[in-house]
Amino acid sequence: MGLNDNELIQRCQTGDMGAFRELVQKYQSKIVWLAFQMLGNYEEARDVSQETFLRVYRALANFNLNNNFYTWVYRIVVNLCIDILRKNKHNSKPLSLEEVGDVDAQDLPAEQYVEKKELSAKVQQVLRQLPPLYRLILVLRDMEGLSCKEIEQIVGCNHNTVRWRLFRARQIFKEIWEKQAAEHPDEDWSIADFGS
Amino acid sequence: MQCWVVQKILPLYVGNDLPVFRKNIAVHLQKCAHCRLVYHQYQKPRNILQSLKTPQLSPNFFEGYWDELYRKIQVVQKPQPSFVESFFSLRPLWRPAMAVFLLVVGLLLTQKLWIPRHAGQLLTPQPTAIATTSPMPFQPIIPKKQLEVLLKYPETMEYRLDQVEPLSTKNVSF
Repeated sequence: MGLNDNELIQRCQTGDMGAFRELVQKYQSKIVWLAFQMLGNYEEARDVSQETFLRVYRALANFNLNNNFYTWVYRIVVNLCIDILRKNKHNSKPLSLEEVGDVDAQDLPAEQYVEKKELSAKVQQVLRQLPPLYRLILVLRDMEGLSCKEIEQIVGCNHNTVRWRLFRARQIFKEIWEKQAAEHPDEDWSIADFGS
Repeated sequence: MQCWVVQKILPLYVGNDLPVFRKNIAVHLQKCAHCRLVYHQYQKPRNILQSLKTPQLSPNFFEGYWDELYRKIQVVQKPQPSFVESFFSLRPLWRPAMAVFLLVVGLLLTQKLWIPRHAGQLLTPQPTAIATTSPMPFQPIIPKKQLEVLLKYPETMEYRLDQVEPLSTKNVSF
């Protein structure tokens, strides 16, 4: 039976490297995925995730167990991603999920698998046109499924700011998606039956 | 509710992020086909985003990832060398240069700390014996006993010449 976050952290604080390994294993996919959605570059997402875990390792001794571990980790990732985006270091080359190793998608039938890949690439294409702060809110709320309260803690904004950004992000995403569909009528941008 | 109001707040309604007016909007959407169309236009991109949830990474990915991270942690954990250790880890040619540099810096600092302290000591006034023995800084001009007598018998006070008014001689005739 797996230990919960607080038990793992307590063991890490006593110097148990195995517990830290479990923590990394538990959160690495989420961290890599979030960084990938923010940066659109797998190599940088991987570097950012490793830097995140290094920072976590350094600061874990002083971590207050009353706080949420994952919101703290997400906050570190988000800050690192925003730093990179501000420095404008990232290459605008979105990569497919294959490089990350999408096991779920590989389990799908071949046709659906290809569809999902294409859809993911299109979503990436649209997401990358959103301003980083709007993209972040959209990824956290709609892709990660976090609540507005949790997003407030991660982003460090108040409730109204989060909702306003979410409102604008959904508007912009819809507009860009429709624009892309109009510009590329040969490609299948229709989303009529997807997930509804 | 009016259509323009509903359409304005639909981006938040689709994700259950609207705390108020939810019932009113639901009722309006049942009645108004145009608003329902706009609602679906917002709902579908959201469904797409939700469908792209975090993928499960393969175990091979984790092994390589953890090895790399573990190496970085080892580097972080390695204790930093002390000043003496880092001094002796310098190249032989750099050691005398570093020693001379530290000597010069040390001398400059000592000078800077030493000179003002002694200069300050010379400038500060030396405390007098009166000040240390008596709460009054100066000896009183009139002795204490004489002062008591003068206060008791003020008619005996002797005035200096400049304090005495000259006699009026206006109405005096000789």
